[in-house]
Amino acid sequence: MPLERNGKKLLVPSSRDGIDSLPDGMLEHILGFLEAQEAVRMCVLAKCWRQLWKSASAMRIISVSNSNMTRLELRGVVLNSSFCDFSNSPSLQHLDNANCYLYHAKKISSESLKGLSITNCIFSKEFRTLIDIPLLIYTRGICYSSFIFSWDLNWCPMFSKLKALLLDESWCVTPDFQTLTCILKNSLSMERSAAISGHLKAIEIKCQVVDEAVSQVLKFLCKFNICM
Amino acid sequence: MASEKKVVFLRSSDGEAFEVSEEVISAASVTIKGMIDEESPSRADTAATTTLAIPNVTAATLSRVLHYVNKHFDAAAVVGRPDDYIFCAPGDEHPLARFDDDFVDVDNDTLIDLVHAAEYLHIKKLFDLTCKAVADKLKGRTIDQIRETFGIVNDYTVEEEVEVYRENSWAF
Repeated sequence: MPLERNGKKLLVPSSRDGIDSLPDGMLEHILGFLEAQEAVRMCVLAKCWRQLWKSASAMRIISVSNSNMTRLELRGVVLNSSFCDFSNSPSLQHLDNANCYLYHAKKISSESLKGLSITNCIFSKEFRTLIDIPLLIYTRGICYSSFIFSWDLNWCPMFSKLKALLLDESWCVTPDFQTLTCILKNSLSMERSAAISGHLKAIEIKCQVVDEAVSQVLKFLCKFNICM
Repeated sequence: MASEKKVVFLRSSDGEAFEVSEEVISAASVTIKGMIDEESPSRADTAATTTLAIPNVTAATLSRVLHYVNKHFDAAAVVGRPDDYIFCAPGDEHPLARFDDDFVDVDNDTLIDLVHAAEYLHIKKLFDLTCKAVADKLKGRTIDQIRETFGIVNDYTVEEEVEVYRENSWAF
């Protein structure tokens, strides 16, 4: 294939030094091919590797099966279905999702989880994401789609031990009473079906001003003898 | 003239020129396609062939890159599908899996040169292939082994290193 040679040999720039010659962006791309824990471990190689994994082009988390992990915070992550099965993390108590893509997640399940926060996450419009967290005590963040609630909260009584519910401002803009009723209904302990406030101890509403929408919510909740 | 397939010459950083089909290289390399598009108005009426300088890539690396590009273009022609499609096929059974494996089965310096070249020439699939190959060399090795393999100098102080381990203890 070489057709002609230019007699003299030009010197190839030799300032490069193996893998260290790759700019951060390329190393981050490389780390994206490693399993997450392995990618993180590279931080001890040398100073310039310390922060790289935080910007890796992907984090390949095969499963969360750390028996000691109690809290997991996910930001801007695409989650698939198998990832959202936390049965291998028996100590996991708090799961905080923000800006995550859950459109592949058919089910979020955990036998140990007590706290669930979902903020600005995007769910599938094709199917319902089932949330199966029997021990859930508190949840916060009514995400983008009240879709998830209006469809999925009807699915089963998932919040038998729910004690605190935080409704943020985005929810209060257009109070979704159908959803709220549904959460409250599902918050009943299975044994005690009479009183809606059976296990539900408090509802906290944070807002800048008590406007019409908020007072509607308050009136609505008063009907259930719930302290606020 | 017109009936023949157009070719371009690529001149490596060390001055060696390589002939390649314009169609093939345009499909593969965003960078070179851009260069050719820039050149085309001025050469429309002439029979002169175009020589493009590739100042960041040595002859040894460029030769490898063109081998890769030609191979993939031919394979795509055989199955009558764009190259992207071939790559998307999961598993090892796709027609070029073996070729790709052998292609990146090279020493570290050669591989790193290929990463640089793929990035500069903007050949996405080759870039992914070579980056993944580097990642495979990091996989399953101890930190000391990786440092040794890639000649990485540990510039942490003992205290700093302890701190970094502590900070990321969950990963170890």
